Amino acid sequence: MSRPSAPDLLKSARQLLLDELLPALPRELHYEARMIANAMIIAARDQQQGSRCINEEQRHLQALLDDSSTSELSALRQQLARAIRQGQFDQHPLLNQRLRQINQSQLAINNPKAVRD
Amino acid sequence: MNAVTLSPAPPTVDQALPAIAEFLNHHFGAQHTRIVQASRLSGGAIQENWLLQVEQQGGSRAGEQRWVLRTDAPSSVAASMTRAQEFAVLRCAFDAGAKVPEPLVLCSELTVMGREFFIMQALEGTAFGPTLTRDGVRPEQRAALCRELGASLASLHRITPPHAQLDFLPAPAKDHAQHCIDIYRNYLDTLSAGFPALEWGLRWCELNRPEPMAPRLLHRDYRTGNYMVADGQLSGILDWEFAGWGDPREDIGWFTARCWRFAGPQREAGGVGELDDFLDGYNNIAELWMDRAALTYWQVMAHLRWAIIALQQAERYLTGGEDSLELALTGRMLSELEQEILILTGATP
Repeated sequence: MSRPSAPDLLKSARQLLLDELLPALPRELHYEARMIANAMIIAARDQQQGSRCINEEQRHLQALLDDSSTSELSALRQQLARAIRQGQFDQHPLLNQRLRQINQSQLAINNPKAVRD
Repeated sequence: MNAVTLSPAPPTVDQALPAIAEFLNHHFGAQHTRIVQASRLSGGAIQENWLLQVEQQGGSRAGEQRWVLRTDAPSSVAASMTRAQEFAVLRCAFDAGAKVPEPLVLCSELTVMGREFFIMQALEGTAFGPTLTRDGVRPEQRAALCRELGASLASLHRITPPHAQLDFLPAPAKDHAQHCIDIYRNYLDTLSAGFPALEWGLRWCELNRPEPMAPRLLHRDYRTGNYMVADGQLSGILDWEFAGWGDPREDIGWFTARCWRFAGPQREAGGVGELDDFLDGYNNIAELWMDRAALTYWQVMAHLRWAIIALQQAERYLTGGEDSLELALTGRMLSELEQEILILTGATP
């Protein structure tokens, strides 16, 4: 693998954007510059945490569905979504808790500041 | 190039200013009308808003005026309401006593600008959510502002169907909450992915559905960011294009939802103040009993609605060919909305 890593490149590029370019930009472009900085940090975190996040979600969904034979995430999500709509999880004691755990690792990538206990 | 299929582009607002001045001159019975300045206001990809400084000699609005011209953007796609319909809603809200920019005149004659437009009074102040929820409103001004916001919403909610001026609005659903659930589910069914957290929120809303209330006129985007405040006071409610009949508690859930509190998440009334002040202001105008359970219910619904809109915006980026970073990032906002849905539904199993 080439060095430096993709997250490091993104973080350095983002720092340069925020430290040097942003102050030199006209006010009406600050919102755009901050959006770019935000997209870069999300991409960096996704690169670092994305596969762990997906593995965890897969484990939680398999446990909820009591199905260890399906491993594809999109299939698991669809299966659970359908079962919830049909009322099969109305009384499930762990649904909310597990969905929150999945959600927290996604938020740790998308917006860690927004994570609430 | 196939010239046969090309129709001439409608004039821009700048180009049409002489014709607009003539239209206003005639409408207000003035001797002379001059548009001193016209500047496009920021925001609004679907609609264009222009601030007009107008001088009229004689007529019913003689003197210097600050008006806003609102029209469809030339490339406008699938707007939710025509300008004529929005003008009618604004007129009804104004007549009902809600604080809104006074609607002045609608122009449906395409000879003037090639597009429909209307003119309303310009409002003072700012609508910018981050400012209003940080330091744009002083602590001692918060209670009064919340009461004004509650009172305006209650005034709007006194409008009931059927209503002759609003006959273009879709008929109210028998059960507004169930209707919303059905619409959001139908949208999710158009996507190939599954969304367990949203499905749980929808199922929870289905199981905990409150008794329906008689339909009222809803704003359906009544939140911080869509009203103007000048020196701590409400100057008017904006953006009426989503108005429709429904359960009045939906507007209150939307207004108080955490996702619209910007820099003031601890202040439940839109990030600007306390819920009790808002509800006091509301109940001074119209009686509405809303307990914590009902409020939580409609806050869950608010986050579901925002989540569906976020998915729609992300979809424009993912499959609609719109290479916009803003749309792309909206897709990544989904997890924040899901978190709130899970917290609200987890507290009351």
